[in-house]
Amino acid sequence: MLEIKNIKKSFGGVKAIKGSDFIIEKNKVTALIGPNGAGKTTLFDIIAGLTRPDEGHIIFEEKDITKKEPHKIANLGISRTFQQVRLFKNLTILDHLQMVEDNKDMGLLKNIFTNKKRSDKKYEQVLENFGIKRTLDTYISDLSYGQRKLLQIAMTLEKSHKLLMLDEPVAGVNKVIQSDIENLLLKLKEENETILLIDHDMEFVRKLADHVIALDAGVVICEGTPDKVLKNKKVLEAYLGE
Amino acid sequence: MLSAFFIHIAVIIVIYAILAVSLNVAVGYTGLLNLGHIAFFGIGAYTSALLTKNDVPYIMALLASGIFASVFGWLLAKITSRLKGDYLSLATLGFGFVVYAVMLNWSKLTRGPLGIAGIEKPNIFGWYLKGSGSYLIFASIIAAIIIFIIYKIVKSRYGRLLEAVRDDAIGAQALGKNIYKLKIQGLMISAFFAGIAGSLYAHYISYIDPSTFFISDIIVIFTIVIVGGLASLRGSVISAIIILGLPEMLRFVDLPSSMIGPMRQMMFAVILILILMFKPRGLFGKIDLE
Amino acid sequence: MFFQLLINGLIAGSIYALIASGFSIIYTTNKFVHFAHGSTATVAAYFLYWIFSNFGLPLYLVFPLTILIAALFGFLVHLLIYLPLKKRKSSSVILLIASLALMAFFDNLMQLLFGADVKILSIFPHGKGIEILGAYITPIQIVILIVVLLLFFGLWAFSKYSKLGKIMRAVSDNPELAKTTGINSIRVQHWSFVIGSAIAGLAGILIALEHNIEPAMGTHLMIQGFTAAVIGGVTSIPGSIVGAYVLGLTENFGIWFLPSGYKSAIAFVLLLIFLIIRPQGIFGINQGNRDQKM
Repeated sequence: MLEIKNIKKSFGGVKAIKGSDFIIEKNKVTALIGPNGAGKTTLFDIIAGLTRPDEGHIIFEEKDITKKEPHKIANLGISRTFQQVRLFKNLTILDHLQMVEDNKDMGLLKNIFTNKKRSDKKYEQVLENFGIKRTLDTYISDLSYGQRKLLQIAMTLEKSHKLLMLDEPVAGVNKVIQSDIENLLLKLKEENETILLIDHDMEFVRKLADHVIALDAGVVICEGTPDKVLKNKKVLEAYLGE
Repeated sequence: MLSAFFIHIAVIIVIYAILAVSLNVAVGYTGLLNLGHIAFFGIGAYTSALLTKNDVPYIMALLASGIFASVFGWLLAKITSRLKGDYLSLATLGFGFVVYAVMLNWSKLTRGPLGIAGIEKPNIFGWYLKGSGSYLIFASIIAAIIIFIIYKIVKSRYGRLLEAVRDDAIGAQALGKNIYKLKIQGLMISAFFAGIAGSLYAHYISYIDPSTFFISDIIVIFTIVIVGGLASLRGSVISAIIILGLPEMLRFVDLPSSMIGPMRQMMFAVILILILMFKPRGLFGKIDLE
Repeated sequence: MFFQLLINGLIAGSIYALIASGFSIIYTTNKFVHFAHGSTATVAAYFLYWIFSNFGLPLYLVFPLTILIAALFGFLVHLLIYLPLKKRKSSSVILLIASLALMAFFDNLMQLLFGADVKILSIFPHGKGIEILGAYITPIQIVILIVVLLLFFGLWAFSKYSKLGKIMRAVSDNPELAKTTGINSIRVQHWSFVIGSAIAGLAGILIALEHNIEPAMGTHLMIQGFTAAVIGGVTSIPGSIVGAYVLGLTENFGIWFLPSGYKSAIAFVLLLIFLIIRPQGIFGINQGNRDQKM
């Protein structure tokens, strides 16, 4: 479904990605692991079009998307979260959920004079499904960190997508929300979603992932089944050697 | 005599309210800190003055001034689309100065520093706006329509997207929204209404020259917008009344007229600095200037 | 014609360089655009005019006093306006708006105090000048060239060998690190305002001698000084000096092709071009002033 072909990227002389190659298969959960600074988030940004690689190609469903603009990539069906949540702090939950529904809001004239009724029911259902106990008119600045994280995941899932990219979905949240999110991910796996995930919890990766790719200092050092990768000597060194 | 003076102030307030509300679309709602807004005002004023001088009907000229200003809004947005922060603001300031320099030097078209005199009063399908009173009514109607349209825009789902671009452009991109298009449109909407305000100004004062549109005059408009509060239309309107009304008190103090001009400008500058220091959200603002 | 334009370009460049280098000194340690820097030169020029026409002080006292006043002015602006704003964690954009307001304030204050008309300071009579290769250069212009050269040499030595100069470079390279090593960054910022403004004071004097004095001179000067700094890279002091000469020469040779009224527009066209195509300037380093990608 997604092919990473010989991607290279350096920032001001520092090589962040030194030629990565791998494939994300449809209906599988692929986990990207590696110590901090291994280049995982950079790779996410390159796939999403936010960072342009120096070399290499990203192929999504047989199409080269390397040079596409970020919003076009998103609209092709790559839906992602960010490690640091990126929500709009002066807007409400409702505004956010409406935004992911479709791109009809991009039309200026269509929107000024048509006042569509709010279908609160549907959105309230989303909040309930994700365990966000707030009203639709709550501003983002009033949400807790965990709630923001949940809302971001909710939006990523609600947006029509073929591939989900989740960047440390449980980082920084409390134990309760962490297990909520993890259960949610296990459910997504059952529903055969295609997921690319960055996570540090090896036990959880072993449970969730079909395929694991270990990255260190900008290179893929090992890939395969969770059991194989997590026992690999180089992987253990990369983690312990930090 | 006194009432004529109040009507004059009222017309100026109405025109600046449009200018402030339109700037708020760019700065407050879309997050584009445009320091060259005064250029759109000037482009609108010159467009309308020159067209009516060449026998174009007033209403056509009014619309053309908005459209022409928004073409420049498109241009400015295009050339600065990759800039942010200080650099965006400075490039917009630069744009304002280039427009000013063109007004000053393209004498064949603009008559340079001499300016354009004798700009006719509007004649709208037989309604001839000769007096200040009728002009105030006309300008107020236009302002009401503009504020209503802008209100509809910012409250719509589209308006939410502009705010999303302001709050987190990358987040908006990840949701599949074309932020470049939104920024361009935000600036074009802002420029369009500033151009209309320019036309209203030109036909009211009946004489324009480049000095009215020099970049230092951006201070007044920014003072109005920031005192009123970012992303608050009501704030901009109320603030226009306060900020422009207040210095008129100077007229009741016995001062030579050569001193009133600079003192007004100094007052605006002091108010702007004080509000940035003590209440940067202004009177009705809900968002921070970043 | 060519040599005359060359000389005019070098003179203009020297004056822009004075504004640009002072501006850069302030920018590198403070990281915001102090647009009211041009007003410092205006205030200095008017002070010189006032003291010269009212008191019979000798010139060797008048000039240093003017520079001192400029330095004090810059220090007070930083202490009373910018520092409180920084303490509120105001963004650099807010500081930029505040600096524009300051500029408007002082331009109008000078107009209020001295009137809108142009003041002429007749300390040295404007002679016809000396002829070199068919071009004329006045004694004041020669003085400008020499003073500016000396100043740049001084600045270079200051930043290379003095303790404060080294600290300033450290703060500008990495403010966070400088803080952890115990450098009092506010003091360094104060000093950068003092030094930068003193140089602006010198610029004010030289402009008062070479041209005339008027309330809006600071604004126009700042547009050019700032453009020069951007051309060279605002974070590089030598860069901004080179940028100033690039601008001065471009403006003066530009009137071969354009009506002279466009002279001031050349600055802004160059400014726009550099901001858009190469915002880090010729010598500066890119510091995240634009969106990633592209």
